[in-house]
Amino acid sequence: MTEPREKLELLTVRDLDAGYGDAQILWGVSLGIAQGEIVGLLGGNGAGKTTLLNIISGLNSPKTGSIHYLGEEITHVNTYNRVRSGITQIPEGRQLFPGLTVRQNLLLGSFSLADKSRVPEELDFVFDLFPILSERQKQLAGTLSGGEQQMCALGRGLMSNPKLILVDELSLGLAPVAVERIVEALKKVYREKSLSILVVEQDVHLCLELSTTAYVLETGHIVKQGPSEELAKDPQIRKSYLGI
Amino acid sequence: MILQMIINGLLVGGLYASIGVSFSLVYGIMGIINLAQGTQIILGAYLTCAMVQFFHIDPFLTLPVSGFVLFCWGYAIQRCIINMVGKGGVVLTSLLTFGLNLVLINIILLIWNADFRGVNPAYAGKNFELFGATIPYVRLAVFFVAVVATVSLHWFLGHTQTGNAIHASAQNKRAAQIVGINIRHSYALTFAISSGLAGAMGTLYVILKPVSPFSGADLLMILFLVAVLGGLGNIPGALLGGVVMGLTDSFSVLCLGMQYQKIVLFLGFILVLIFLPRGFFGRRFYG
Repeated sequence: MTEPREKLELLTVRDLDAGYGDAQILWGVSLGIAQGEIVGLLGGNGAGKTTLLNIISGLNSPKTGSIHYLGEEITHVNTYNRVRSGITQIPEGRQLFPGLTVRQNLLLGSFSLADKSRVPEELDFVFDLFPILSERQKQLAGTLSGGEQQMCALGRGLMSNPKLILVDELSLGLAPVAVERIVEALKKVYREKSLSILVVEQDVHLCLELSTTAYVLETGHIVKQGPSEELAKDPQIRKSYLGI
Repeated sequence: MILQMIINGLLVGGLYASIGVSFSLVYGIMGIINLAQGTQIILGAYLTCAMVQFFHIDPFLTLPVSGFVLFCWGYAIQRCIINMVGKGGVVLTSLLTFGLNLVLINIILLIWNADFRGVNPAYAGKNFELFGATIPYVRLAVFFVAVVATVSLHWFLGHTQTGNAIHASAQNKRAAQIVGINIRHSYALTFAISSGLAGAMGTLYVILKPVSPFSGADLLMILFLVAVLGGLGNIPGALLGGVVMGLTDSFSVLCLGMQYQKIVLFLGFILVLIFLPRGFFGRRFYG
């Protein structure tokens, strides 16, 4: 979509092995995200995409391998400290707090923000991005439609003023119109805030359109990586993911 | 006479409500049935007795101290012990709190022996008349403090960032982690608030009634009833449950006599379980 602003490494994942119990999910996965870059991660069901995201967020721990963020190793840092330092996940399936209002959900997004005086500013930014959330701010988050919930989830993630957002299956289960609105919003966020994005998507078109670099994950191995434009032309990817 | 009973029931109901809320909170947020809650209240009561005895101060003034001591105890016990078996399900955590209850009882026995203790402030016998009913000032004060404590807790949970974080941890643990909530701290804080409220209510309880190290068992029954009546985990429900308990309490004494009080309570409880198993507000409050 856009040229990378600077090739300064923000996040580096090196030789990650991970799994649950005896089942190994990731095998020696390495991946890098530069500052101001949108990186795509492609892969089918069960390839290990969400596991990788959860390890970057700190929700799961790897067996071996390391994660560096802004030059420091964070492999064993707690999730809440990673959020504080600017890594935010927009989880698959929205994962809102259904019994709290939209406003409370958004404000909880700024829970880790050290400078609380920024909260109104961030809230305005989100309401500006998604005016519907402003209208519905007193409504319980569980009563929103799927698209609105995804907006709320994205808004909540942005409230922490992140440097890196990990977007997991943004388009899953949403109407095409809603996907379009949210993708537009995501592009706007990218233009206006200096942040990097890791997009995990089953919608390969969308993923390659958004990202500048992409990785292909298959059964826990990175099988291909490169500029998204080139991957979009790759015959093998066109065959197995785009059905062309 | 009936008016007197209603007033007595309401006044004691305020205290019951608060006790029920303290129990309901931990169940609602963490799914832990804290069988030590009754004895935590008694520990608060003993702390009040000790402070009144040593410093000769008004028992109401000891409330912040007993609340604070139990708050710290609750935080430590949750973070260091209960947290370890938090994933083990309700049977394991219940066994653990059952054991903690025994430990607490024996700590109280070691420090204060098995005698009944109470406090008797100078104004204990003072009262005023309202439409022919006698209202002791002490009971009225206890009622107000208990209601204020419960209402402020409810406000705190609904209107502060920390309160929202506690709700959030209950509603979606994963999402709570994702927004940067330290859920171990959040759980420990919830438990601490519950224990702190129990400690404070211990101060109020001992102003009304003398306690022994074993009085926790009676209280545990009451708080179970109140919490279930209101719907487990539901704070406004527990308030209503407390008042209903207080009224049932005083009317059964009036109509049938003291010896039948518990029978009536538990018969009522069985009926509630059969006909309103989710309490007055037949819905799940969390999740």
